[in-house]
Amino acid sequence: MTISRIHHITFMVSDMDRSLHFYRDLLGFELVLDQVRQNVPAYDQVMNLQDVKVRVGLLNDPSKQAMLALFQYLHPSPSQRQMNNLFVGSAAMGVQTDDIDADYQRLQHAGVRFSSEPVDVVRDGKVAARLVYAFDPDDLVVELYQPS
Amino acid sequence: MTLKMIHHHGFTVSNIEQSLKFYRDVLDLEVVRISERKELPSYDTILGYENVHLRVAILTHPVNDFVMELFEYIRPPSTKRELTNYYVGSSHLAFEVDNIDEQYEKIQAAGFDSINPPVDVMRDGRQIARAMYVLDPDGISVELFQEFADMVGR
Repeated sequence: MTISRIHHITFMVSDMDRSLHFYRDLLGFELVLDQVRQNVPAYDQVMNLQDVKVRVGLLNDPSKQAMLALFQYLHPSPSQRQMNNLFVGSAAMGVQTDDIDADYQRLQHAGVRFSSEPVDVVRDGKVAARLVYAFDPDDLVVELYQPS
Repeated sequence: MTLKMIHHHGFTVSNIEQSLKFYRDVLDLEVVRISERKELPSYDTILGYENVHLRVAILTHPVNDFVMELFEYIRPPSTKRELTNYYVGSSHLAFEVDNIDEQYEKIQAAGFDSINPPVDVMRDGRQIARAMYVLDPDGISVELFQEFADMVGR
């Protein structure tokens, strides 16, 4: 086994300040780094782009076992397009909660948009989980997930 | 605050079997289950479509129990479009590896490729990592990196 662990999830966002409000202030992730990176030839090569300039926000999840990296491209200019789970390559990050209904109320009160109210997922006659899809400021899907 | 942890990360893919040749056979993630999901009103409500029919693969990593989900939409059908990292809303997963050059040979031998071969990531004159973006069968980029120094940059 040479893959030792999943290290982080990256989301490309259009406005770092707005996204930090969502992930840090509303979801409770801990900001550990917020910096602009440019003149990093490795980035140009890894991403196959020229003169990459990005603002990177690195956050620990509440358990500190995984990290979320937010990238706001400053160069090249980011493009925005329609978001929808039916597009191949769309992502959904699942965040586990103890009390999905309380989180739903709290986040909705703070202006977060959801696809529905929390719903029980019933499989083989049993409630397997309770879920809801929240949308981040760029319409990335953050699934709130409460296991049964 | 009752949110506890990132539990899983999922991607919409065009064909689960094709994706497993990458995530299971090359990256060595373990398949927990592959299931067909349809006639589940809860999915219709959450996803916002009628009569959703999905195939879902749940994979895990043996070390830190992280769960990865692959969603193949059968109804409504999925759509492919260009994927590049500077589209807002793009996402990728990053895996830490012990030896990235070995991984590069392994993915190439398996018929996959990366955007570029592994490159040294330098910061403040020292090498902090060696990294590459591998492309999965749908062109979703998966970062592999070998860490030499604390990525947080202290």
